[in-house]
Amino acid sequence: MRKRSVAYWFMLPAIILSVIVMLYPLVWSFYLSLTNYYFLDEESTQFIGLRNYFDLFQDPTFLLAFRNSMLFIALYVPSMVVLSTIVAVLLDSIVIGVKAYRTLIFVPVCIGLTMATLMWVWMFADDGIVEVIMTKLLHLPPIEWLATDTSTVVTAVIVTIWKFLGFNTVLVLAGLYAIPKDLKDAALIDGAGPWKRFTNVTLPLIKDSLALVIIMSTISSVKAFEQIWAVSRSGGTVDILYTLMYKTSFRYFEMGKGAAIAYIMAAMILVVSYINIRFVRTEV
Amino acid sequence: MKKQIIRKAVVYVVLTLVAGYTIFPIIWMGLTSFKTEREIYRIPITFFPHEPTLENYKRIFTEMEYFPRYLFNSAFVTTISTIITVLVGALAGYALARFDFKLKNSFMVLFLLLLAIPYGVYLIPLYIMEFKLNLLNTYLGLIIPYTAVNLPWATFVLRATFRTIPRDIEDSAKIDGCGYWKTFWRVMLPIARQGAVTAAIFTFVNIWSELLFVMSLTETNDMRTLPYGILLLRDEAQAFAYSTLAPAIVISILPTLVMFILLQNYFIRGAVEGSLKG
Repeated sequence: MRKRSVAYWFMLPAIILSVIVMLYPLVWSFYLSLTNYYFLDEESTQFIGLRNYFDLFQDPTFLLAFRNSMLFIALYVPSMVVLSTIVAVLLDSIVIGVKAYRTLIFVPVCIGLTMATLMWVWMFADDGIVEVIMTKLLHLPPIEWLATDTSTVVTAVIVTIWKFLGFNTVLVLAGLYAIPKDLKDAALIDGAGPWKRFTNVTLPLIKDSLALVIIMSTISSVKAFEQIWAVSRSGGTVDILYTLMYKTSFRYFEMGKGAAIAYIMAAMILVVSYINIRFVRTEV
Repeated sequence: MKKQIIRKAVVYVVLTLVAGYTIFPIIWMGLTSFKTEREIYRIPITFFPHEPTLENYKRIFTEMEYFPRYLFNSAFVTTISTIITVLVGALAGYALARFDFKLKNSFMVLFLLLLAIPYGVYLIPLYIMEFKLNLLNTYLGLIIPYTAVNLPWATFVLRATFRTIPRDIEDSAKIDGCGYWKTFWRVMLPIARQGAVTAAIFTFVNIWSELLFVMSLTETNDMRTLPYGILLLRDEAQAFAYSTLAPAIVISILPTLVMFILLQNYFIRGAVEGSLKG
C-alpha cells in the first residue's frame, strides 16, 4: 500500500463528517442567504441577491441586535484581555498556592453556559444575594440587572467572563512561563520598577498570547447565545445577533434571512481573526 | 521588606477575590438546592440552609415527569458522540501528524476555519437536511452534528499528541510486521491516550452543555437534553422556579464538575495545547 493513499483512508471518516455537517451547509447557507427561502413554502423560493443583507441593515430589530452584539464585544473583549493578564501576572508572581488558585479560577470552564446563566440569574434576582451584598454590605444603590438591553448585555458579559476567565488566564500564563528567566533578571538588575518591567519586558513577549486571547474572546462574544437566551422565559425580548438568527429561522421560519444573519456573524469573526493574525505576524 | 510583604498580601487578597467570583455561584446554587421552598424565597435571605432537606431532589425525580429522561438523553447522546469524535479525531490527527499528502494543508486550514465559525451558520441547512431525511427528533440527528462540530478541535489535540511520539516506535512496530492499521490501533493510540482523554473531556463538556442544536433539532420532550430541558422546567414552574431548578442545575453540572476535579491537569493542558499548537 502506498503511504499517500493510507493517509486518505485515515482521514476519510473525518472528511465525510465535516463535509456533510459543516462544509456543505456552509456553502448552502450562503446560497440561502441570497434567497427569500421560507421553510413552510419552499416552492416560492426566489434568488434575490444581496437583498436580505440590505434589508437587514434597515430593519430596526436587526440594528438593535447588531448594536447589542457590538456592545457585547466592546465590553467583553477588552475586559477579558485586561483581567486575564492581571490574574496571570499575579499568579506568576506568587509561589505558594499557584496551583490551588489556578484550579479555583479554572472551574467554570467545565460548566455549561445555560447552567452558568441560570446560576447568575438566581444571584442577580430581586432580593437575591448580589443585591443583599451590594446594598447591605457595601451600601450601594440596587441595580436592575435585567431591565434594559444594555443591562442584560452587561449581565451576559459578566457570565461570559466568569466562564472563560480561567481559560484565558491559562493562555496568558503559558506565554509568561515561556519568557526566558535571564530576561526578567536582567530587567531586575537594571533597576526597573514592576510597572516598567511589565510594559517593557513582559508585554511585548506575551503579545502572541494576548492576540490569541483577543481572537478567542471575539469568537466567544459572537457565539454568545445561551447567556442572552437563558436570561428570561422562552428567549426573552432582548436579542443579540445569534438569538435573532435563531428566532428568525426557527420561530418565523424565514431561513433565507436567518442565513444572512448567520453569515454576518461569521464575517465578524473572520475579520477580527484576520486583523489579529496580520497584526501579530507583521510585528514579530 | 515591609513594602514587599504588603505587596504580597495585596496579591493574595486580589486572587482570593477572583477565586471567590469563580467559585461562589456554584456554592450558592448548592446551598439553595438544600433549602426548603419557603426558605429559598424568604426575605431577608438566609445563607446556610436552616433545615437542610433533600425534598427538592426527591421532587425533581418524582414530580418532574421529564427530568430523568433529560438526564438519560444527555448521558446517552454525549457519551456516544464523544466516543465517535475521539476515534475519528484520532484517525485524522494521526494522518495529519505522520503522513505527507497533497491536501494536508488545505485540511488544516479548513478545520481551523470550521472551528471559528458559529454553529448557527450550519444549523439552517442541517435542519432542512434532517427534515428531508426524517432525522429530526432522533438521537442520530443529534449525534451526527455533535460529532462533526467537535471534530476539528479533537483532531488538533490528537495531532499535537501524535507529533510528540518518537518515530522509532512506529518503525519498530513495522519491522515486527504490523501494517499501518495495526500499528495505529495497537501501538500509537495506546501511547497517545493522554491526548485522547484531553480531547474526550473537552468534547464531553461541549456536548453536555450544548443548547442550540437541541433546541432546533428536537421537537418533543422525550428527545431533549438537560440544557434545554431545564429551561423548559423553568418556563413551566414560573415564579417559584428555583426550588426545583436548583437541584436540577446541581445534578446537571455534577458530572462535568467531578470530571474536572479528577482530571484537572488534562483540562488545563488541553486549554493550552488546543489553542497554541492547534
